[in-house]
Amino acid sequence: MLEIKDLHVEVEGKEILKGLNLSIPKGEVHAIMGPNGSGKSTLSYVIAGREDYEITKGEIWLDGHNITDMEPEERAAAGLFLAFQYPLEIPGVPTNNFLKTSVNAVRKLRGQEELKPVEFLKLMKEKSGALNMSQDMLKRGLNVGFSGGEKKRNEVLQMLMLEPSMAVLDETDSGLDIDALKIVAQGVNTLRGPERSMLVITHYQRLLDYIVPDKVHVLAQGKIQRSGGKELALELEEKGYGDFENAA
Amino acid sequence: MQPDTVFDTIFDSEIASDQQRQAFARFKSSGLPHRRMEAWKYSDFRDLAKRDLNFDGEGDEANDDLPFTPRPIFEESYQIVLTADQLRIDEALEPYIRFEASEGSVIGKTDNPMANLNQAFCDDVIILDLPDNTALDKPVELFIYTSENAFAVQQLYISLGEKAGLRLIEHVRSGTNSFYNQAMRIELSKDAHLDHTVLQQSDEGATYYNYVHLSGKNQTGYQGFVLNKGAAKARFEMLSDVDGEQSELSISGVNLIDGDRLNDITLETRHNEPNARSRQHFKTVLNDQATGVFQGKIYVDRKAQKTDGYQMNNALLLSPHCQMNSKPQLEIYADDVKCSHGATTGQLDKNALFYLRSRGLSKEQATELLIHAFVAEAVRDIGHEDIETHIMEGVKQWLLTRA
Repeated sequence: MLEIKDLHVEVEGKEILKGLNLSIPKGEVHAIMGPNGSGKSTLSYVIAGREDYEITKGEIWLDGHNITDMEPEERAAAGLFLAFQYPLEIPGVPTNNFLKTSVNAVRKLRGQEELKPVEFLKLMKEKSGALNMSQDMLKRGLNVGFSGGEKKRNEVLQMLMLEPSMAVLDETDSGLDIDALKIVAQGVNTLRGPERSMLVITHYQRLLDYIVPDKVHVLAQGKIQRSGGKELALELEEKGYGDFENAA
Repeated sequence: MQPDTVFDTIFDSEIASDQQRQAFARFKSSGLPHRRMEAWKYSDFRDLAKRDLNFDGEGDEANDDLPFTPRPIFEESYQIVLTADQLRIDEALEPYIRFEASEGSVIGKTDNPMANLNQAFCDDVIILDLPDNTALDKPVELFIYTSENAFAVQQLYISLGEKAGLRLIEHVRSGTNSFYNQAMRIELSKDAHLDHTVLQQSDEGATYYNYVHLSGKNQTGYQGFVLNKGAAKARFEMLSDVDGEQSELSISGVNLIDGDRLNDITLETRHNEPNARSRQHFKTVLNDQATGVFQGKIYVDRKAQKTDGYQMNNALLLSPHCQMNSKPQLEIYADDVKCSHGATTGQLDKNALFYLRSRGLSKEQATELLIHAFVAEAVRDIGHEDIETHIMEGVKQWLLTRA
């Protein structure tokens, strides 16, 4: 369960989020849609705890814990996962080594035992297989030379392996062709369950055909302007964001 | 003439050869390297003048105990151990090794003060000479140790005959407050291949200077790598003459500098013949108040058409008080060549750190991973897993001791 209360955020002195309220109960998938520059990516970064984003007012709660001032790794341990819009390329760090480091770091922070190499390999093979990722690809440097679709699949793979209680997907559909989109959506859907919440941030309705949300919110000018059921996405697709961009 | 230094006190002109006396005179007229000399713009070695150094070259009575334990990388290798009073050579190498009086064979007449100092004090050259078609079945690991407060000079001559091959690893450790000055001449005949790794890991207050002059004929291969870790001041200087076609000469390295240490990499690659490739690839990680220097030059002669030259030097600054000085130079007189170069100096990528931390890695873990990855790019040039693993272990240790 994620709860955001009256969140105000400044980036380099400019207020981007201006009193945002959002509540995602356990087991629900919510979507945030909005025009470019409305603060969608800022919201995802702030939830994950990126520096340089100053919270001037408000709080973020995850499963009963106030995570507003937590370090990014503490949030990961608390069950948060952000799938990046632009996953970083890190040459020299093989993807599989990184996955192992990440899974074990999170397990350690959660007070669980680290996975034995065999257990880890089994888990990685199982999850990556479901996403049509080759073992060869996992030996390459993290996201190095990956296509846009491969990077997104790699994000979803990390999500599947870290099993977060709250996943934020930031424009996961950008740069994906329809086949890749289906695979990624399938991966995301396997994680859906009564114990897990998700926030899908997207500009287009297309992704929501595959990851069907319980609720849709419109973010514009730093605030949630309207909330509704999944049909709201279709309405937006038809009418565009014009109404909200002019709203004061 | 420059004022007297500790070197005047220990230089014995009566037993010196003419050639040594001349070298010393040249050293005297220039003095120790300092910032007003163009080639030493960022590196000042004048503090050596006041150092209380014992000259190590005389060799006391033989002592069977080594002052350190050699830690070879390879389970099976031919070892050479070189200390102030010892020279141990694996028997299998004896047919290939000989000693000759140093008569300017390693360093020619030069205005380089450190090289002149080497020449003035060095009596013998150790020559490793592999005849045509000879490739050793095991790597050669050379251990060089300089005692505390000692001044030691060494000259090495490595000559590979046609189609000869060698893998040489130099483990250099200079003791506290010592000064080790080495000159090395490498000559590669047609089709010869040398894999050369220098691991410089010296103690506090040590000064390390290494001058390498490499030349290669047609179809030669040289794959060099230098690791610099430790020593108060270290300069690795290399002049490479590409004297043959279809040759590939590559020098890579990693410098890990912390405290108030200085590390200087000065390279010059001269393409004197056409159709050859060369590469300079260095990574420097700086912390605290450390100073790094990279001076890299690629010279392409008018007749060296179809040269393929590459130079890359990247520095990572971990503290706001460290300093990196980069001076890439390309001097190209041929019109059909490919020469690329790049130099970067920067901090750790904040976005990358955030990405890794969002995956549960602590700030420290993420930092280490990124440094590791940064350094590994150059280490991979070696192309030999055992050596690469050994070096990356050393990097890991350095990261752990980092403040």
